[in-house]
Amino acid sequence: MSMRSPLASFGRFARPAQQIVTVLAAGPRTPPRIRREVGARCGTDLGPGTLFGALARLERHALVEVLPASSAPRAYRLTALGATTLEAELGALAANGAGTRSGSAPSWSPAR
Amino acid sequence: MTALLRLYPRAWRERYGDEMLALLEGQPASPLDHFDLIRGALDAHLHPQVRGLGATDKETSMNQRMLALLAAVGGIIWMAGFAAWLTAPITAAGDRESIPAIPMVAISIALMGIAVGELGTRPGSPSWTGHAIAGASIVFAVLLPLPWLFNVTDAAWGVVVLSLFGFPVLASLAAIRGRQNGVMPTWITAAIVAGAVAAWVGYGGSTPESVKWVGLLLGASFVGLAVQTLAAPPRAAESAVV
Repeated sequence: MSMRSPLASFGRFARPAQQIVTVLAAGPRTPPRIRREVGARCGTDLGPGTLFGALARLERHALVEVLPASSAPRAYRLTALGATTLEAELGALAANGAGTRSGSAPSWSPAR
Repeated sequence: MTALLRLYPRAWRERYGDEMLALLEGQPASPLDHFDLIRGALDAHLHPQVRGLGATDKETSMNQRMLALLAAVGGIIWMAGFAAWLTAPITAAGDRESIPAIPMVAISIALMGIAVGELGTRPGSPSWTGHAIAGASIVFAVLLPLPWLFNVTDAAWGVVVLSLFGFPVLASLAAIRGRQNGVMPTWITAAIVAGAVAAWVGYGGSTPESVKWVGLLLGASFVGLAVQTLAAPPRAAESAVV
């Protein structure tokens, strides 16, 4: 039986959340850096409301956690659950896109 | 920019306010960013995400209390409107004089629709279905008095059918959805569905006069929904559905 991804319940924040966890797969990042890297990798400019709306959902679902720091900007990192979810997301996307993918890298490609 | 951040709930600002400011200080905000912040603030109010700070549960519970208040007021106005209709004098055409009851019923439809649409949504979950149910109820409420306002009585029956018969269906769907989302107890769902059926029976032209009063039950079921919400408000979702 397949388990539903927590990101599926994020509504309009699902895709930004997916992009954020993809960026965080490379290591902890502060929100400004997440925004820059999502923009560079996916060509999407995450607005501040969308970025923090998605981060809040990811944090509440224990997919990301914030590293202790005395002041902003604090860095976020993937939790073990977040890493598992990312793997499942990428697996599902790869399975869905296997028949149709061309040579170009998808916009959600994970950090290398 | 800090003015826009003030649009966010207090708990949200306590948790993310300084980080949002740090982000905005590093990169000048575009007009799209302003729009995105406003949209984010609206979302933060509708679907509170920040937990564990005390204030969030308080704010969530405050939203629930507001919706419970809408359900209670809507239910009471519905009962008053229904009673006003059933006690109104019979016109020369043989119908009941509807004008005193119509505004009350219209207002109650809007209030009850907003309440049941939003209370059927698991707190913290984004859901356009709940908003759609609330919005459709508002449309019904606006449509209902129009034929009387503009004295287009030929159109009245169509609008009455759409609004008065449509709203109980919407309310039932919202209640069933709330049950599926685990935020409405079975007895409340059953009461709203039974109230919706009773409202249909109450409107029925062939229903005996003495039976028409069962239409009041829909209002009573919303008062029950309000009491239940105040007694045991649904908690924010751990794992959201719908």
